[in-house]
Amino acid sequence: MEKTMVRKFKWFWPWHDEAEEAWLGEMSKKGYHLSSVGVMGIYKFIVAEPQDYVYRLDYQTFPEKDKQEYLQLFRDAGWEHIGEMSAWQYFRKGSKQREPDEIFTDVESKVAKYKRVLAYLAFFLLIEAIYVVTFAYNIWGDSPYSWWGIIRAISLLVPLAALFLMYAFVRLILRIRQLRRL
Amino acid sequence: MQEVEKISEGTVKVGPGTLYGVFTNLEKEGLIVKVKEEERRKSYALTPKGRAVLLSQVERLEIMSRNGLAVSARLLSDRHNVVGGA
Repeated sequence: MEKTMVRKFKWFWPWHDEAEEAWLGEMSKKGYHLSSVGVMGIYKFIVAEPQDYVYRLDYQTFPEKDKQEYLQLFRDAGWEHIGEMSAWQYFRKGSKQREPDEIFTDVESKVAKYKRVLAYLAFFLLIEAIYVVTFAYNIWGDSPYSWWGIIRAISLLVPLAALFLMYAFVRLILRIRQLRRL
Repeated sequence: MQEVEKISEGTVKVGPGTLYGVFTNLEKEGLIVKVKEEERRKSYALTPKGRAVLLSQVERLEIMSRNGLAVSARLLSDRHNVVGGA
């Protein structure tokens, strides 16, 4: 029988990753099982019998060799790796299994996950800062060409991106503080 | 991970995400070192520094556990006295 596939676009804030995990579990309860994750947040689901699955997300980037060892560790603990979407690693496990259904078993390792996301955002904030220091002055100085207006229009997006990054930064730090208080 | 759960009699569970971070941190601190690598599985051994840290931690925990046992023994005998008095 041909397997039916459903595609769904989904986007989530990194501090809502646990809600995303729960949502994927709910989808499986309805018979939509995550089968792959695409680059731009496109999930592919296989339509089949409803199942009790637990989904967990980690945030990791590493060279291929380290990745294989990392995945082996998860396999040994009974987790199936479904895919990767911009450093988010998607894992699944049948919830009837005896082993713990958590990939993180202490607060510090959960905090470390959000810190890895923070490090990634910090990299982009740094690029923004370099832009402001080096290019912004030149772009908004005397305009040598008639098409310079387009460059200026595009450069208006930069402060927007900076605001977006700073918002994410603050929310992640609040999430870390919340975890530490628990 | 299964072994940790077994020898701790189910009181300590270590998830793979946590364990991965633990290996990375202990290696960075120079407490363990990679000795073997096969089928994508790494084996680690304690370094002399790691051994020293482990021994001092065990000693610390032993003192805590001794104090804890003394307190719980006193608590148990107090309860007996109360029950006996009533």
